[in-house]
Amino acid sequence: MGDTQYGTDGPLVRRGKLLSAATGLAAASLALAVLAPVVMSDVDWPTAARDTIAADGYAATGATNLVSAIYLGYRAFDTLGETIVLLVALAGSVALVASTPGRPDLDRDGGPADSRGPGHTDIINVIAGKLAPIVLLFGTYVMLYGHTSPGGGFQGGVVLASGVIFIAIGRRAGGIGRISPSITAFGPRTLSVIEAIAFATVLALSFPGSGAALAGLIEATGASAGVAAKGVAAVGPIIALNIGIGLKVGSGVALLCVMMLGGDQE
Amino acid sequence: MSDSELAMLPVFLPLAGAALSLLAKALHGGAKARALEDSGAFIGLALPWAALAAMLPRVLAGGVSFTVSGWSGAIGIAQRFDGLTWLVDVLGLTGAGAAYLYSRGNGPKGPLFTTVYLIQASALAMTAATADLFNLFVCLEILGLASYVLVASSEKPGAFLAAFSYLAVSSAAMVFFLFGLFGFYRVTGTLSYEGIQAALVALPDGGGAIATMSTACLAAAIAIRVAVMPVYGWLPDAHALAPHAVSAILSGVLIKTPLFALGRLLGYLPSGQEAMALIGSAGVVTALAAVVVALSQKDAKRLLAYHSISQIGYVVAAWGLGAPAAMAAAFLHAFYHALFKGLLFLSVGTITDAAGTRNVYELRGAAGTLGKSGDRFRLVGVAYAVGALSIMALPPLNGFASKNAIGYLFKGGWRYWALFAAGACTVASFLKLSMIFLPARRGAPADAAGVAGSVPGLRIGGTMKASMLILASLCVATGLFADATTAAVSRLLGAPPPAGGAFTAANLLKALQTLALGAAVFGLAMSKPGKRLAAAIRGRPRSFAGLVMAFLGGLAVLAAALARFG
Amino acid sequence: MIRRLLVLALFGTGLAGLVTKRNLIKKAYALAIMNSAIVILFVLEGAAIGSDAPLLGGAGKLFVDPIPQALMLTAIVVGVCVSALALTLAYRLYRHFGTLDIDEIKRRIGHE
Repeated sequence: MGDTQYGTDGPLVRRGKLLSAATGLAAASLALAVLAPVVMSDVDWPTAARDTIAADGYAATGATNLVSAIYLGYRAFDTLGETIVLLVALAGSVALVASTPGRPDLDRDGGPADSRGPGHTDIINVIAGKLAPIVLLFGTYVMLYGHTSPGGGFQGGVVLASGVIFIAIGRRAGGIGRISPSITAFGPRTLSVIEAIAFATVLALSFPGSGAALAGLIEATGASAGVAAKGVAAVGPIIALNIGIGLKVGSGVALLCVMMLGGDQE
Repeated sequence: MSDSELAMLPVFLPLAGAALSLLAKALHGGAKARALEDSGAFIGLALPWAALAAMLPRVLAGGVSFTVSGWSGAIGIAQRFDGLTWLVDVLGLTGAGAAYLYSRGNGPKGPLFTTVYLIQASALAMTAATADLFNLFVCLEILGLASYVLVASSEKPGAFLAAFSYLAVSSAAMVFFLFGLFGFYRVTGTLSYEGIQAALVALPDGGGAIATMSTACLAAAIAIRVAVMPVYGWLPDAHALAPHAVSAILSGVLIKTPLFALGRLLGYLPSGQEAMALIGSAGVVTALAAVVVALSQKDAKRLLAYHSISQIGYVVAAWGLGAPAAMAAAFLHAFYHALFKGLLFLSVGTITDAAGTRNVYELRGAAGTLGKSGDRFRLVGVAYAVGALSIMALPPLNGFASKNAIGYLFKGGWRYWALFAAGACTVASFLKLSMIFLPARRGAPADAAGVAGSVPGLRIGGTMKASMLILASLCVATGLFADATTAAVSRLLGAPPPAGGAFTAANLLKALQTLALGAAVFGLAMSKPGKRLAAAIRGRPRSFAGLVMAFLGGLAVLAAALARFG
Repeated sequence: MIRRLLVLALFGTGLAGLVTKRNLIKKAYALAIMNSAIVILFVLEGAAIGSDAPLLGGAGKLFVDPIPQALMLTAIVVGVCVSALALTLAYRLYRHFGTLDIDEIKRRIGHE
């Protein structure tokens, strides 16, 4: 392992290092020669887009967070693409890790095999178990308030995933870990189903026209507090998208991590 | 259903299928899961044909331009569904459908494979219709990630390394894409193709150095997906080590769709014409150089992978001319190549699996092996023959029409002779590959099946034969009715109908000359010095650093050329 | 000016690392550094036209450009996904060959 193939010091190693340094320098020079005119130019940054969104963003999407108005409203199709990228990467990684020959077996109690190994001290297990509900709450908050403050589906989803990892780590002792591990509340099976349903929801919400249909539905039930009368679109579709993306991202990342902790043998 | 919603169906139907398949994966097996997966595959690969049929009248009327969900054009995502989009969707669906059918028999199975496969099919449709720069970035990333996962699904260590190399070099290229996007947004303030074009025209210097360097970055980043020289290095490993169905769709569809997306983009940029011409010239060089390397290969699938590079060189050469007639010739060859290369990968893959070896010098008696594996009528052998004759550009198959159409575009220049030489070498290397059908050598075990490495009990099932039968009949049909197909494609791309048919005396004479020259080259290649040269070519040093340096070199040359002549 | 030079230096470091380092994990890191460089560049340059975060309801009215931020949210997620897949592939290669040196792995695959 490591960078020295030749093993010993000497002229061969030095020549190898010199060659690689020269290659690196050549690579950086070629790249910078092409990129410097692009990066170092003095052209003023355009303001037209910012002005348009500052003027119309709230009325068109109902979100006061203008960044959310863009990536969940105007450019929601790209966000769907981003969700798909995450799905493919996570699903592929899960399959690659799961098919590794000779993964460590479970110990007899059915918990993760390395829960007694180095790094898994009682302190970590207890604190992780007790912190898990707080982290989950925070993740839910970040996910739900993405339309008014920095946050949203991706950010909240990742925090939710770390909450689930805390549960998985803390399972052996204290806090939420006193729940019997046979209740697979956040086991791989449940996480897969949540991921699939959340993805289907995000897909349905991203189809052209469905956002408007959902907004109409919300207005019909009177739940949008009459914002339509003020000329502002209902923010319901954005909140729904945030929830869908948050659940999808959270369950996907949690599934990968729970699997790597050895929990897929349950 | 409005026009824009209908136009988005080829993207959303495969995604709906992927969602069903993902649900099937979550159910962990059982009859319900299998039903979900099958219905997902049907919705994703069969239903889009209905959407395409419904879009045809609108496409013939001039195409549809819209913004997704109707948001304002300045910030929203622009899409354009025209004749080129329609044709690229047909290409994608045909290749994806046939390869998926094969994978039900011999390929990777399971809901995860189906999910990623359908997502890839959806990304192909997305890439074909996009008219927005950042949307193109997202589409290419989806295509890329799906390919890395599919390549790695063959579970061979070589495939892992191939996927890693492809991933690393492609992602590095996409960072350059983002630099190019940065340059264009800085100068124009918008991301849609039409907006960028309008804003650049309004500027006094047309964008200046920023626009030129950004064009180079975008073109080079997309060109690496197309695998022209010098950025082809990732392709042989990835396509040779992937499962057969995945090789078929990678070679058939995934190296073509980014090319047509790039053509659409460069049509809106000021230095676009020069960039296309330069890449087109690289394509001609690729066509000849790659086929020479292909001729030297021992591994059957690696030989086919190098041929993919060579054939994409033909497509890029025609594409580089830019005119609608040239684009029609490029698309025709891209479509026919998807058909016969898919056919070749599937048939050769089946034969090598049944026989247990991929070494062209060792594998013999393929017909007998096929018979033992359940292919009584040697359908796989017939399929191979159709594919080989097509790629050798022999009448009456489809390769004959498309290669001659491309050659005709370059009549009289050095490119014509380079492509002619490439055609001869193609004949030579397929004569070499066809040696697998020779009877087993004296002393070698007559029963090749059962050698270590063969797929135990490989039964050549109905779906495998069906997929190859579909592709083969399409090859024959498009070959016999070449003139009608060319006319249809020309009409969709707005090109004037080509003068003269495919089956002219001059073309037939050229086919005979190519065959004769090819046989001579084959003889040379099988001789002792020929084999020594082949071993030297096979043993040339190839490293990951070389892949990245080749990309940077190509980028620098492109940037310099555009700066001087743009 | 100095900030742009630093971004270019960051990108150059990542690129040089990708080309020269033979360890698979270091290549994955180098790719992540390159991604960070472009993200920083977009957000930095987009902030030149304003002084406030693009959240309505505050006191200020001159927002920074929200489009680069929205684009970079997507770019960051894509970069993370690519890193995840790269590291998983490196893990599988390490489990099979016992080494993370790309040249050594290539050599052994050639012999298999």
